[in-house]
Amino acid sequence: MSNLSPVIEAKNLSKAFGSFYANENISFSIPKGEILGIIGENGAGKSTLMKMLYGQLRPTSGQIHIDGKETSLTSPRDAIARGIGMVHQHFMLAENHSALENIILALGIASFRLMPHKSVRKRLEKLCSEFGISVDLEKPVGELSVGQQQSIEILKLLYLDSNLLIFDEPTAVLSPNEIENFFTILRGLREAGKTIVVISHKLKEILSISDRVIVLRHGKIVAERTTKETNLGELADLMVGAHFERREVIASNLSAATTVFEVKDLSSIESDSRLKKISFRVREGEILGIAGVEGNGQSELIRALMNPIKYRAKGEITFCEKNVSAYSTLELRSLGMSILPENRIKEAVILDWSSRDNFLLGHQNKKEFIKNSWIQEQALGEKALAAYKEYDLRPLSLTHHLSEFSGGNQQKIVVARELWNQPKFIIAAHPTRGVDIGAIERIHLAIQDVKKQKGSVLLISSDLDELFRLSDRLLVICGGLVRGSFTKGEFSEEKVGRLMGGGQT
Amino acid sequence: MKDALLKTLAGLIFGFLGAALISWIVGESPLFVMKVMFESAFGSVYNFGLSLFYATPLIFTGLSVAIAFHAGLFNIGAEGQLALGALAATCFALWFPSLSPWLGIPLALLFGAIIGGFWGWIAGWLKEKRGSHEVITTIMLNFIAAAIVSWLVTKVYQSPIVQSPETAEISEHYFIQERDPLYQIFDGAPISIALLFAIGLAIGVWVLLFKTKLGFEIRALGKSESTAEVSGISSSKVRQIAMFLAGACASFVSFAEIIGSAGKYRLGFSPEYGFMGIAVALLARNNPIGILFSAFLFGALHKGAADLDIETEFVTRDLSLVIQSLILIAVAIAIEWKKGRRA
Amino acid sequence: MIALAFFISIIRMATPLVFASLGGMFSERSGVINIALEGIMLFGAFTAAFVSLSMGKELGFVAGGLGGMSLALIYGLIVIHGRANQIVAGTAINLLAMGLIPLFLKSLYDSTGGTPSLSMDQRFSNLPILFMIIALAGAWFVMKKTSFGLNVSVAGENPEALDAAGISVILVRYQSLAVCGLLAGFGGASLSLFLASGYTRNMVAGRGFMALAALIFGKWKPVPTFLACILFGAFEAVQIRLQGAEGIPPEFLQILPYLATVLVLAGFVGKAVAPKVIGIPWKR
Repeated sequence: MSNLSPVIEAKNLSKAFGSFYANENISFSIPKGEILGIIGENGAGKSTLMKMLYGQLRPTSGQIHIDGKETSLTSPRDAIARGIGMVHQHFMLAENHSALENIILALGIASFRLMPHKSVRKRLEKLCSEFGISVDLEKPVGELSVGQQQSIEILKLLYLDSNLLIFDEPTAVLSPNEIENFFTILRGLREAGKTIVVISHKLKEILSISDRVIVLRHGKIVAERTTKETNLGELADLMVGAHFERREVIASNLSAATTVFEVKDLSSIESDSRLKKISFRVREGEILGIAGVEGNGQSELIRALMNPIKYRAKGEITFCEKNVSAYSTLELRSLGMSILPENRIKEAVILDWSSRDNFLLGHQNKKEFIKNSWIQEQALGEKALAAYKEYDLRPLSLTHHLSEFSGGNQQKIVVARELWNQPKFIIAAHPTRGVDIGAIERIHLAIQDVKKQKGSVLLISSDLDELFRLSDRLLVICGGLVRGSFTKGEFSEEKVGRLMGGGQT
Repeated sequence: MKDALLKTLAGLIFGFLGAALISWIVGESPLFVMKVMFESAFGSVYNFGLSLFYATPLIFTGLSVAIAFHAGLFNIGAEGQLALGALAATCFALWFPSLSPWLGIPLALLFGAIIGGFWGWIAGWLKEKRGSHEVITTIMLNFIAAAIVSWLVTKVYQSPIVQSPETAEISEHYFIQERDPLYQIFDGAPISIALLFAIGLAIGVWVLLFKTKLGFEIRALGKSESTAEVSGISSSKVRQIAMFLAGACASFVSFAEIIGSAGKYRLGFSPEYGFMGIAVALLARNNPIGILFSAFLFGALHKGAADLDIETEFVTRDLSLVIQSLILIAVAIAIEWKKGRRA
Repeated sequence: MIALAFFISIIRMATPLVFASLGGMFSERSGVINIALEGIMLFGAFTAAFVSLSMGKELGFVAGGLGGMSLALIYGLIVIHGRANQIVAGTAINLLAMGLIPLFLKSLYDSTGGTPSLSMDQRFSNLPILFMIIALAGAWFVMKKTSFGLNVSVAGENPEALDAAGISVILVRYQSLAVCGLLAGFGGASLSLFLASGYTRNMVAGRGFMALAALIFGKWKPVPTFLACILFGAFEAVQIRLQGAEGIPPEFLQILPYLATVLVLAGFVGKAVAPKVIGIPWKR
């Protein structure tokens, strides 16, 4: 199929932000009727590339050729006019408006006109039956399921006669059923001669849907493979950059250890019930991993565990032999819980505060730092400086704003802070997300240290390597349910992956 | 820090240039207008004292806006909080006329602070429990407070001896102007020790915000509610406390305006001190110490413009509003300016 | 007959409010908080009276709208391009109007209190009520049926989506503010050319904020907002009736609109949900 002339061709595309190259000399071409997968880790430059193809960013150098002609895309509108359409990871939908009005919106009528309800509906209904898409056109989009919202995004592109459809992490928020349905639609589109680009970091899905794969790393194309001729292991190695050595950590002998943290039948109260009777226990000196595709209840679980009084769920939570089902974060923290939250920037730090003030977060009730409600700046500074040494934090300054630290150093500050005073139990959610390799190593080491000091860890991550490396036991959740559990030694990418996707062992 | 000062300076220059331009447009020499204003604000000990007198309430309302702002809330309600708080202090003085000044004045101020604080707290509580946006709530509460105060002053506490809407005079146990050390210095300008209290309060608020646990929690909440929550800070509690403190600060206007000078509650005594507090806090970037300076600036501006009505032919005291608004606009834009460019 | 007269007095009272709150609707639905309504109305009232004195009431009314529009666009420049905090900027615009108008009055009429009184044929007897009804119908139609209305409400709900469709969020917000200023300016004009005869100092007297209250009470939708204005107009009319009468102090009626708004904002009387990105400057 690659004999056909390319629909779109990138020639030596580069994009620099200051002195940093987000994309460097990217060249590829996509023939008509192909599904191309683009994979890479967070920060590998996938979105920058897509933004250039969609006219949202102008390349620093290099050209884009469409149907053989050199084209400069100056805006998304420009891209749309040339038959390029994009489905963003976060849908571009107005939730209070119907699908119909969202499509009208996408027509981009800037002038003052009546909305063409009738004609749009007619054509939409035709498109729906042609591509096997079923969606309610009248209901406010916000009331529809995520899968249906995605279908509306696809309809939008079809309505605008896009020939090249770009999908940015399309499956991140979909349930396994919805993913299947989505793939069916994609295959239908390919049959109809549309060209499709799927950006993802989920290797399995890329393997099952694409015809060809491009691997990006540090802003460059490091490999291009025909999907049939590659496999999961190869792609994973290419994506990460080095053959990933799994340094096994010796599992401690845990069978006799006492339970520190226990959850019984935890279910969300809301009717959509993101959590369904989740039960587990974490023993002293144990790291319990929780694997799952994002959006399968992890966020809800974390919230319910770290602030049970606010995010009330059914079921029982026990910590240090106390029923903490109605405790606040403050009470849990004073019992010895620490939290590495999911979203560092939003939940763990304050970017325009000094690093010293950031070190105090979560410790504002410790006598060590606050005496009679006065902040003990001396003690705080000394302890923070010690953490700088221990974690090799840079820049070596307590007064620099946190925003002046790199992501890795920020996360190390959070880890150092949360591991002060030897917590009994720590919730570590995606502890190394968006962090450079060096910092990953250091953070993994720190988490293992917790264990050595008889602390327990609940590790929630979507990074299987991380989970396999650190966990003593591993639970897999999918759709808010615990689908299976493994102990160290039984971990297998295949088995865990299958459960994560909603399959059976 | 340097950056903030530069932006503030730019705002000031813009404000006065704009005023000069407008003076010129309406047919007055800008230099003459500036000269009149300068002399009116600083020309004599008395004038200077009046500038300080106008600055005092602005310190209180500026602090009120700033505390709320540090907690991530916009307190447009200082006007209502100060009206109710000041009336409460007045009422306390009317109820217990014979307490000694050492006891009566602090208690009157405290009672005012509780009522003003309560009025501020309502907005915090509604935001917490019902998610109502505090900007709209506080605006509405201003009008409600104004109506309540108007009713209380004219129908309940109306002075029997005058026609104008004001309460009876508070007893000399509370009204201490004659014995006030500051009043003696400034040639009879109605300035009082309320100014010293205001300066002390500003320092206290600075210490509270930057040196104590509560201040840390307030600032954390203001910067990032989600981070505060994960850190174990009760956003609910802190938000309500911050709004209470904001209302309490605003209520102390009574010290300067009633106990310190007028000796009674006159309906409409405040020329929108509450709204001017927004400008004061913004110019000082919500730093309590900076508020001392920006309040003085706006106080002097207010006083400076007062003589324009008589001294010039076409320019009126309303020019100070124009200057204020231009400074506000310029500083509000300057604050965002670099942020926008970096992104 | 008394009932009818009373009803008409309510509608009269509500007219400036309806104009202003419909104006506020365009601004806020597009994502721009507008506490500057007060100042915009004030400026509209002044320009209307000024033009009406020399060129007649029809042009005066139009001038009121244009005056309001110009101030609203200045506000737009500050918050859309300047990205200034909208609460601060709104307060500043109110101060600006309050400060500038007396300066103009002084040099035009040598009085800061207001314009000279308008004669009978320099002011309207009932026509602004009709204009107000037209504005209401127009606002409803625009929001419900036209692409512009869709763009306005998406600008306040999900501006990224608007941008992705190739429509300039910034332009839509400026357009919304222009419409807002026009309508609020008409509101001011109906104060000085209709309810009163001429401009008097600070004659808006909180009506801009009351219009904002009505807008929230009406949940940012044209028809409910209109009904809220009528309700608030009724409070005002009753209060005028009661003035001087014994019994309920008029102050209690005065607070009703504000109290009602607090209650509706707190969800005690149906929940008011603001446009999603209201107050947030647009940045790509």
